[in-house]
Amino acid sequence: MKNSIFIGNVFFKSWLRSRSGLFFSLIFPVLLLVIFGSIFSNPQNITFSLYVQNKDVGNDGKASQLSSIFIDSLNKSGVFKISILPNDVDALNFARSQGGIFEQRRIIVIPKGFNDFVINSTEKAQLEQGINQIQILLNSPYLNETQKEMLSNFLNYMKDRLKQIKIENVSLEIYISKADPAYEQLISILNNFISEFGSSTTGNGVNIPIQEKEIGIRALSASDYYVPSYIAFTIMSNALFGLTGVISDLRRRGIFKRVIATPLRKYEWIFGIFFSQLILIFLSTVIMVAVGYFAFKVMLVTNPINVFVAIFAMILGTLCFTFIGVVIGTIFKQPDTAATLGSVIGFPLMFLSGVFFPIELMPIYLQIVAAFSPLYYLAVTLRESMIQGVFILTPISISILALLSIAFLIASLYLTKWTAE
Amino acid sequence: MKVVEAESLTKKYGKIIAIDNVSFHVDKGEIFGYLGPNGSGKTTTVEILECLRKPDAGNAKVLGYDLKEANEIKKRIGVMPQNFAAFDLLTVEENVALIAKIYKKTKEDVKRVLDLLNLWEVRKRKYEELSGGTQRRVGIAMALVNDPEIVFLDEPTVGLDPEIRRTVWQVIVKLKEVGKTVFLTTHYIEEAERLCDRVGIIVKGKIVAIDSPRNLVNSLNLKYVVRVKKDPKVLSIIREEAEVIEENGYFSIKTDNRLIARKIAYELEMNGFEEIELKTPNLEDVFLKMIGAKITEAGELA
Repeated sequence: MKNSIFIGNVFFKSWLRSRSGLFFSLIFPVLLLVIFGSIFSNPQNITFSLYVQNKDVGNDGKASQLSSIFIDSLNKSGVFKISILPNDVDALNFARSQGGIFEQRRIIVIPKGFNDFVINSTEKAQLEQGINQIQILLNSPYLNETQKEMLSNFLNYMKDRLKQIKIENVSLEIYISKADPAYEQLISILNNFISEFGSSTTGNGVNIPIQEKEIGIRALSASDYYVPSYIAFTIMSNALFGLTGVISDLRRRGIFKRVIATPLRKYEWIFGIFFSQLILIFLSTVIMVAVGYFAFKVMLVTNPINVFVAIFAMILGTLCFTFIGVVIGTIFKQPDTAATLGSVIGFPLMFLSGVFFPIELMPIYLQIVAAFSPLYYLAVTLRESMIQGVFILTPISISILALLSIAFLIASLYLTKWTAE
Repeated sequence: MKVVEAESLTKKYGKIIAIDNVSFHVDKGEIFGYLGPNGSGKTTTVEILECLRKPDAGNAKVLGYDLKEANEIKKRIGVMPQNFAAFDLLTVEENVALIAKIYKKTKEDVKRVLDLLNLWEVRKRKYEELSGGTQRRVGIAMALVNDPEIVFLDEPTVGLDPEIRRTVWQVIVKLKEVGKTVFLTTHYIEEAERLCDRVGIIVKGKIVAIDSPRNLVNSLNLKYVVRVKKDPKVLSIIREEAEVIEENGYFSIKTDNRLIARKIAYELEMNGFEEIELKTPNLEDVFLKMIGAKITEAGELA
């Protein structure tokens, strides 16, 4: 037993002195808790951008009463950030023209006749309910003949009225892409909201039909969405989780010293590391695309411009993250410390860059953090070029990635000491 | 011809003076030993000559090039750093070819050096699978593949067991035979004495002596010692002029003359004495006399 305690003590000490051990055992779980806690435990803080187009207006251009109440309710719910889409805009074309910006591709269209539909449906529901109740009363043994006659007359009146009600079937149209990372959440919330609106506004369980419209130029699945995300993640993880420790280890073991004793130039060394990362990325991309195609029927946009932009983004992303990896691996001489710092930076980026979760599911302060993440811009560009086929955020994302690459190249050239100092 | 000329090299790390006003030269074709305990400034000196560190004061020329012409020097030298390691998962051939590629050398150059160091048979084996001695030979092969005029070997045998160490010594001797100049740092006195044409002894950043091992021994008038178990008969046997000292039940008979020492040992043997030890003064005695301490196997002063 004493030996077991001694062995346990030795392992505990080793763990305590291992920075990566400490990170993954103590800091990483807390990090996950904070991120996922922020995302999932404060749903009241989540807001979804949503366009509303109200076609239920009179000749004077004034919105019908119930359509106004509906929009007002959407606004007051706190779940949606509403923008109004003018009536003369074609919703489908508008949604498609917004390309990669999912937030601007969600539109709910209130159809012409929405007000009448709800009022008539409510009256119909009330009449049907009244007719049922009167029919039950007519069979009652406690009513005399006079009372029964009065009720029969009223019943006939109600039936006549019911026949007169003409309900023109309309439905709320929701334009959304299934590739939208918030698709599941948004559809569920909208269904609940519309159902609640139908019940609370009319006092009856009026079912307001919903028609979902896929706006994708191609029908996209979750797998389509995740292929570019995984490629972006791989580019980051190779550099931050792997390269940092490798570079530090080369220094610690003296291999770096052997290399710098040759006429090799500093930039040749750094770009050599970049080329190795790039080969790795292209290999893993080919594998991921092949698995996606054969196992999940993932279809990527294959026109030459999109392929070129995707490859260009991969190269830029690899440049940027390789240089970050070189900087970290150069600063810290202990591989353990370098790898830990890579994890400390990499894991938050992984969750905060819209790679696995849409960033709008996060509180606003985390969304601000995402705006500083190179992974966010890489993932957006790959998504637009590989699956959406349109370039909305791509120009700005590419520019930011290029600037970051240059900044980290300068940092890596400056920090990599080409001496044994 | 001098291939290395160091003049008053000084290097400080903060307040610690690593090397202090160090001057020496290395002649073409010789094995120059740089002998000293751990922390004496050996690696700092060699790294300055390899253009991996800048001296705070002084200057040096390597193959006629000033240290400021680092690229010219790097093109012409071979280096095996202290605690050498290569890429574990690359083969012997791939590791050597990596350095060859940097120097724009050919596959034939790789083959030549692998042959020279008897590594051709193991060229397809991964570096991590090799024994310690073979790994050092790979390090020397990487240092030689650019056909350098001078090879810097920084503690090439440290950590190896004595048998494997000797195989590395054979390689170093071979380098001299093929015309290379070798700058060898070591804390093994025996290694310096056996391999080096000249030895520079460095302690606490200062060079205390430079010469051939034999000249260093001779310069200090160190004595030959015949050691035998204490016995009154010994004194009657010794007819030559010698100093006799009693130490822990033994007589140590000391003389300046090697022939006299041999004669005393012979006469003792003829008179039936056993376990006679004849000790020739060596570099270790030089070190002991100059520094007042020995260097342990681990490289520390004791």
